[in-house]
Amino acid sequence: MGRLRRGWRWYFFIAPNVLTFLGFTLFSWIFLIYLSFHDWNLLGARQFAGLSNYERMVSDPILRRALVNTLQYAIMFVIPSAAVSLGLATLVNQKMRGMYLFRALYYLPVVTSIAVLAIIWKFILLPRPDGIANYLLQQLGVGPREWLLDIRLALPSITVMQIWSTMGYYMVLWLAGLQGIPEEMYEAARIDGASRGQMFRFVTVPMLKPTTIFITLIAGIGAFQMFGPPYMLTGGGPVHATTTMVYYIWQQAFNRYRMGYASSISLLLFVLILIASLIQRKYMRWSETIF
Amino acid sequence: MTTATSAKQHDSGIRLRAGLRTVLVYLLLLVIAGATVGPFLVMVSASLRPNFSYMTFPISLIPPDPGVDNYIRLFNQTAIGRWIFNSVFVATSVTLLQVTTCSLAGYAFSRGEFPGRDLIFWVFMGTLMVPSTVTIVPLFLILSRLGWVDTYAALIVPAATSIFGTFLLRQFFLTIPRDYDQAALIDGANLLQIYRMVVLPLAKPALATLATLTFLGEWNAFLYPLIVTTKSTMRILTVGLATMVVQEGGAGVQMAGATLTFMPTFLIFLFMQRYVVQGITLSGVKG
Repeated sequence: MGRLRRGWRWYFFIAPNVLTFLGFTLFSWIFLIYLSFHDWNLLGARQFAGLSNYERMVSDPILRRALVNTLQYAIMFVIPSAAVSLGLATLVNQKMRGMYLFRALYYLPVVTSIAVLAIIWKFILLPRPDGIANYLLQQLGVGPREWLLDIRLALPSITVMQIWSTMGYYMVLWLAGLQGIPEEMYEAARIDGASRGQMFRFVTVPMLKPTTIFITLIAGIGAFQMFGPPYMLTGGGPVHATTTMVYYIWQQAFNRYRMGYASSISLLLFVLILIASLIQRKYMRWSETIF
Repeated sequence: MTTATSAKQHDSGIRLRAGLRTVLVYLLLLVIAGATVGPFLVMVSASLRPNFSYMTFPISLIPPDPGVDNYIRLFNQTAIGRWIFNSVFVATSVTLLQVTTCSLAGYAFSRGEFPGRDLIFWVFMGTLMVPSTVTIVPLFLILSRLGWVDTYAALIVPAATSIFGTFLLRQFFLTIPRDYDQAALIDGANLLQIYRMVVLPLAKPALATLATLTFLGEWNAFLYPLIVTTKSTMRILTVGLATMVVQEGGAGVQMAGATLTFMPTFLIFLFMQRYVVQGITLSGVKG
């Protein structure tokens, strides 16, 4: 027994994973750092550039714009989508007929590619008074807007679309959290005379803490990498209003062929994601004292 | 007597309120369902309107003069046939490869004892939360140096393994009792035979979960296949759809392409829903 469980044979089993990890993941990281200190437009030779890529980042107004847009988007996306999906989860967590169907219907956008979703939303958000979004809002007495063509509305429009398309995913995560809360806790609260709202506040919310941490973390990491909608819908515009970090990296690398500069922005993106995760963890730990 | 009647009235009052609540809940559920499903109905309906354009108004969910002209144009004017093949080929290959490599590695991490096991495992875990978007530029340059741009190798090989999949399967394999391995060992089975005849058959639900998630992920992938392919013939469906140039009937053709891209994921979700949800839950709360 021990003879088989121990030994070098196991390396064969993990070899594909280890090799692709070394060859693609690890080597990419080393190359990324190396590239950030070089200039390379693919045609000529790589040239050592010292810190010039980093210096350029400091004085690049479009990068600053992309940074602000990404942070703005993350704020507009994470908390509302966590809240909306929690609402959905509590709604479909009731023991009523047909809940499985509703859960499936709410999940539908999650299994759909951003390429498909963007084509649909381009049509919904047409800047015409009789476009679908404008038509529906007109029924509520809101005047027509130009959505993706409006500097102030373009990013919020994309945010709404993204919340709509991902809320089913977070709903499933919340559901798993909700179903992990022992029924006895609600029973005990009911005996103590707690109302529905009080039960939510004093049983559900504290019990969902691990789920809350996880959801805000992955929603945040996802928000920092938003790329598809600006690529498909706005080309980063109007006037850079929807240029996100990843869109800007893509543009610098694959439109302008500035591989070194794109790499240094990629590193900045990584640092941002790292900081955001750490802040988020700290904040969640701090909030523990409130509950 | 009087107390009984008032109790009964009180009772029916509660029942009425509960009934009203039920109606309101279903109403809310339906409105939200309309918001999530409605856009897809608009897409399918628009794709079936022969002369659909972004100027086509008013919009009606049932096309007044349904026809498949947009689909015919789509096949005539774009390389959609090739894109469909590419998507099917890439997603299937990646799925088969990932299920194989991840189950092999998951088996080793759950059963084996070898020098460096824990170190390798924790290095893998450490990179699980680091988004791969960050290294997309150097990865492209590596692939370009290998001469892999516009090849299936670029679309398949870097995705042939997965740390997430390895972790998912390892967790599942840990729940399979070691007694089964022991029994097979006594019967003279070697490591590979135990993997094939004991562990894999018992792990079918976990393998199906990983396969479903991987296939959907590959089918819907966007940024990566956009970057590693430049020729129209090497595009996968999503990227072809996003970059296609159509001479005639653009909007309707786009809607037809979107519908075709959406349908397979819709069908997979319909039939594999349990595995999709299981995968999300496993990766989420227990990861």
